[in-house]
Amino acid sequence: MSAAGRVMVISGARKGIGRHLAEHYLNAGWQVYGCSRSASDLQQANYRHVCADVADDSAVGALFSLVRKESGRLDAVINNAGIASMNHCLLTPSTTVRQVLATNVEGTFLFCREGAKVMRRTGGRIVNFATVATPLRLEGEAIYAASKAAVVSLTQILAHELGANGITVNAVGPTPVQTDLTRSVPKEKMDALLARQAINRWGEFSDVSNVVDFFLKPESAFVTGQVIYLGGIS
Amino acid sequence: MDRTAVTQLLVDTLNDFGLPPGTKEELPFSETTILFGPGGIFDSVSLVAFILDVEDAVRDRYGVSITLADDRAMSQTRSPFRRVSNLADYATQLITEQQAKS
Repeated sequence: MSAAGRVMVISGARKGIGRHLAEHYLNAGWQVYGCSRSASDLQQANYRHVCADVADDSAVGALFSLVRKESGRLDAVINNAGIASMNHCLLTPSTTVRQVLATNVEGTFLFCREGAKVMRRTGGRIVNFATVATPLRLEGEAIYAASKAAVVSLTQILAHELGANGITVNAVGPTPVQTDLTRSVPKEKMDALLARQAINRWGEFSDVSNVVDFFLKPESAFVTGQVIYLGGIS
Repeated sequence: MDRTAVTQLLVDTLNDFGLPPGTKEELPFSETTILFGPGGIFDSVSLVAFILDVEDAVRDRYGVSITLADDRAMSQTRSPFRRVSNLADYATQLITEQQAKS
């Protein structure tokens, strides 16, 4: 099925996995609205970048209102935006806790809510981002893993709440991929993490987009409330 | 803000929405139509869909975004979702507030 004319919103689209997904789906023919706090240098005819904080309720509402006005439709929301902060729990300030929860949990929720409002009559797809840090109970990532555990719960419950609207809600749980998010983690920590995977290597951008592709396929209309972890983590 | 116009917007939205299957409410819809609770035309799921339709209609007609099911709505002694008249009162108040901000 051609993606021409189909519209998606990707959060955290300026760099890393989000940037890869934006380019991947632009190349596949989608019209893509990207969002991040800073401006993007991605310039393509079918790409529109909006600067917004995903945890800002009114800014998120304005983004989806823009999509509704300009495109008149929405087919998919990719909740990629996320932040992490590796630290021992005894050294983690409350400001960090609030920032991580605001971006990862509140941001994901707001995009799900506003996206579903646009898609509620036509159906659509929501893909959230979990992490292997949650099932691995990764030390030093307590707040990040907890925030993503909340994303898993959101995914599973919203799948039920939005199922009647023909909206599927799923999540992909990437292993570490070489991005800004993982760059600051010491090599020995990362090697130890990779050793706990069934397949001991870094994830690639294409590993992530492959799972997102699956969730977006028309044939996946009966797949909802699922979390697919990469690298053999479960 | 003209409350009569808001009431008409609610009635128009109700007419577009249609009656959920199995309801016995007599047409036409009016200010006295019971929306939710004993004798109401909506269950909780269809009420959610109707509220979203009203929010869309308000945005299209008045150019402002309102959130009908907020904490204030839930804490009111008389639910704004009981009758069309109650919802008209509450929606008129929210639209007036939003227009004053913009």
